[in-house]
Amino acid sequence: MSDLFHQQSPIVQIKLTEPKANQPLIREIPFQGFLNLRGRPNNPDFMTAVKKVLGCSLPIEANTVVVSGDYKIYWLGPDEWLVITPTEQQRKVQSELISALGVIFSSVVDNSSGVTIINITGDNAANLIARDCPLDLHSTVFKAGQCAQTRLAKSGAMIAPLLDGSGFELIIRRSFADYLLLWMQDALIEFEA
Amino acid sequence: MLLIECPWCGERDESEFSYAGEAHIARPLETEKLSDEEWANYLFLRKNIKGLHREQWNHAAGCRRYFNVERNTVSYKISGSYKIGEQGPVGDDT
Amino acid sequence: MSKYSIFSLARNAMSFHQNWEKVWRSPEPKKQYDVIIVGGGGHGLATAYYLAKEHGIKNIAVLEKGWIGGGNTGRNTTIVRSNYLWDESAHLYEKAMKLWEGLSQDLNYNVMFSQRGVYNLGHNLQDMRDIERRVNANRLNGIDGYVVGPEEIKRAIPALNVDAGCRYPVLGASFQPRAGVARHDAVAWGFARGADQHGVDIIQNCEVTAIRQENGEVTGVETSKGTILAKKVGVVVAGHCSVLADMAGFRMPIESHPLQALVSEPIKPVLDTVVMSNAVHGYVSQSDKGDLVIGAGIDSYTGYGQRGSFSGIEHTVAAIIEMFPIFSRVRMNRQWGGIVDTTPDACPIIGNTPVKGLYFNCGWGTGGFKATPGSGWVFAHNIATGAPHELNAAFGLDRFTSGFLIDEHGAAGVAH
Ligand SMILES: Cc1cc2nc3c(=O)[nH]c(=O)nc-3n(C[C@H](O)[C@H](O)[C@H](O)COP(=O)(O)OP(=O)(O)OC[C@H]3O[C@@H](n4cnc5c(N)ncnc54)[C@H](O)[C@@H]3O)c2cc1C
Ligand SMILES: [Zn+2]
Repeated sequence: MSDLFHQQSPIVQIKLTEPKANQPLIREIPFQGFLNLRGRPNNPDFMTAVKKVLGCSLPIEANTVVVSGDYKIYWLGPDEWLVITPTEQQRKVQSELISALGVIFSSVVDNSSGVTIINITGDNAANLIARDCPLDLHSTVFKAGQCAQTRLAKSGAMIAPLLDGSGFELIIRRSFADYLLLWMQDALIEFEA
Repeated sequence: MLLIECPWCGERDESEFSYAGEAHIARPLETEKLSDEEWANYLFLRKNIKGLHREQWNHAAGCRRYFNVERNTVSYKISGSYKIGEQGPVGDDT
Repeated sequence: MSKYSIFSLARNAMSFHQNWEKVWRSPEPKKQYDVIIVGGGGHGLATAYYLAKEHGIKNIAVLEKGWIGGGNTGRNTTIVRSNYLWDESAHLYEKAMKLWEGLSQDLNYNVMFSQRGVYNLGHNLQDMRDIERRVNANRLNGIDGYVVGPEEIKRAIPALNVDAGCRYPVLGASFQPRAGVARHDAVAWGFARGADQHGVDIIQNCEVTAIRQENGEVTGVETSKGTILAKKVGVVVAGHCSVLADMAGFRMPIESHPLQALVSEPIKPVLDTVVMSNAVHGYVSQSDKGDLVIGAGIDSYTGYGQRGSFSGIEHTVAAIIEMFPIFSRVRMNRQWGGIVDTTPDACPIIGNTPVKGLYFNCGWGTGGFKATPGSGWVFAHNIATGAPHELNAAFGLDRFTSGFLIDEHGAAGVAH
C-alpha cells in the first residue's frame, strides 16, 4: 500500500546550509528501513534463525553495532535490536525473518516510517551534540562499533560514532526531527566564527 | 546529580532514568481475598527509609529496562545496581 | 514579655536597639509535660501556640532537632492561597486563610502577610476547564476567585509572555485576590514568641530518638537531651514522619522527596503578584528584597538530603524563562532543598494514630506553608480533645483503608 504514496522527509521544510567556519555538517540519510526485532538471546533457535537471514550473529554485548552486508544491527536492549536495511528492503527482510522464526518466541515490527537518520560530521560534531546530551562522546570512551540510546535536547536519540571516524550517526524519531533540526541549527551559531 | 548504573548500559546521567519507587513489593496473588488493611498496606504504605534504600529505576531514555538500585537516601550515594529478581548488594550505610 | 509597638520601638531606639529582650527563652527540658510537640517548624509551633491559647494547656514542650523553622518552613517559597477543589481541603485551607488575615495582630508580630493575589495559568482547553471548575467550586465554598482572560493577565503582569504564538500560550487563569505570600521565618518566630509567652518551652537541638509507650499508650519520648515524659505527643516533623512512625511501630502512606527552590539576585520591582503554571511547571514571585523567588517540582526519587538535582534546577529555570523571557538575563543567587512528605492524594494526614495519645500531623508535602495557622489550630483541637475537629476529620490515616481519598493533585498542582 504505502508505495502508492510518495514518502517525504520529515525535515523538508528545514534548509540545511553549507557549514561555515568551524560548523559541523548535518545531513539526513532518509528513507532507510527500520525493523524492531525482539527475542531471547539465550534461545539458540532464535539466534540461528536470525543469523540465517541477516548473515551475522546479533550483537549480544550491550550498546554495540554489527554490520553485515547492507544491514546494520544495533543493540537496543537485552532482548531487543534495531535492524537497518537499505531503502525499500525492510518488507523483504521482515517477511524473511518472520518465516525463519516461525513459532519461535519473537517479534519483528516494521518501524520505518517512525524514525530517520541524521549524520553529523566534521569539526565540532561532538561539541554540537554535547550542547544538550549527557553522554560522554569522547573518542576514547565512545568508539566506532558502539552505540547508545540517550537524551538529546529533551528528546530521545540513538547515537553511534560513524565507522570512518568522521562524526556521529543519530537515529531520531520522525515526529521530533523537525524540532531537533531547528535546535541543531540554533546550536550551530556558536561555531559560525 | 546522580550517576546511575544501568545493569546493561553502565553509568549514565540521572536524566536518562525515571524513578519507580520502593523495590521488592510483591503484588499479592489473591487480591480478592485481602482485607482493606492488607490492600491499603500493599497500595499505599511505604518504608520511606532514611538510609539504605532499595528502589526501582527504569532506563527510560536508554534501554528501557527496569532494575533495582541500592541508594543512601541521605548522602544519595549509590552502593550498586542489580537486575529484577536478583539479590542486591549491601552497601555501607555511611 | 513586652508588647511590640511604636513605643517599644522608640524606647529601644534610645539604647541603640541593644536591649531588646530575647524573643523566646531557651529553657532546659523539664522531666515531664502535659503535651510534647515533636518538630519546631511552623506547624509544630502553631500547634503549641493554639494549644496554650485556645485550650488552656500551658505545660507544653516543643522539641526541635535543629533550629526552629530550619526545616521546610524556612525553605519554602511562601505562597499562601486557599483555592483548593474539594470541600474538605477548601474548608481547611480557608480556615488557615482567615487566620492569616489576622495573624500579625494576633501574634503581635509582623509575619508580612501580603495579599498580592495568585494567578494559576491555563495553557490549553483542559487547563481552562479545570480552572473554571475549581473557581466555581471555590465560590460555592465562599472562597474568593474568578477566571481572567489573557488581556487582563497582560495588564496585571506585563512581564509575562502571553503571545498567542508561544509554545504554551496563556489562555487564561484563575485569580484569588486574597492569596499572596508571607515571610516564612517570621511565621516560625512569631508563633514561637506567642507560644513562649504562654509558657511553652521551646527546646532546640533536641532530637527525638524513640517514642516510649506502655500497653499501646504513649508515655513520652527519648531525646538527645534525655527522657521526657508526656501522656500526649504530637508529631509534626514533615519529611521525617516515616522515621518517627517507625519509632512508634507503624508505617505511613508517605514518601519524602527533595523539593528545591531558588532565588535570583535582587532586581527592581517587576512582579507584584504570584504566577503559577501547572503545565509549564514553575512558579515565581518577587520578594520585598527584590529577589525572584522560584520553584517547581519535586525530584522524582526519595531523599532526606535537603538538596536536589541539577536537572531539577534546569527544568525549573527553563519553565520560568518560557513564561518570562525577560528573566533570562537575571542571575540566580542561591538554591536549596527541603524534604517534602508526599501522600498518594496530595492531602495531609492529621489525626490519631494506632498508638493512644500519639498524634501525627504530616503529609503536607509541597504545599503546607499556606496552611500553617489552620493546621496548628485543628491539630491543637485534636490533641486537646483526643478527637479530630470537623475540619480535619476527613484527613485521618484511616482514609487509606476506607478509600475516601481527597484527590487534590490538580489544585496542589506544581509543587509549592
Ligand atoms: C522548596 C520548598 C518550597 C515550598 N513552597 C511552598 C509554598 O510556596 N507554599 C506552601 O504552602 N508550601 C510550600 N512548601 C511546603 C511547606 O514548606 C511545608 O509543607 C511546611 O512548611 C511544613 O511545615 P512543618 O512545620 O510541618 O515542617 P518543617 O518546617 O519541616 O518542620 C519539621 C521540623 O521537625 C524537625 N524534626 C524532624 N525530625 C525530628 C526529630 N526526630 N526530633 C525533633 N525534631 C525533628 C525538623 O528539624 C523540622 O524543623 C514548600 C516546601 C519546600 C521544601
Ligand atoms: Zn540501560
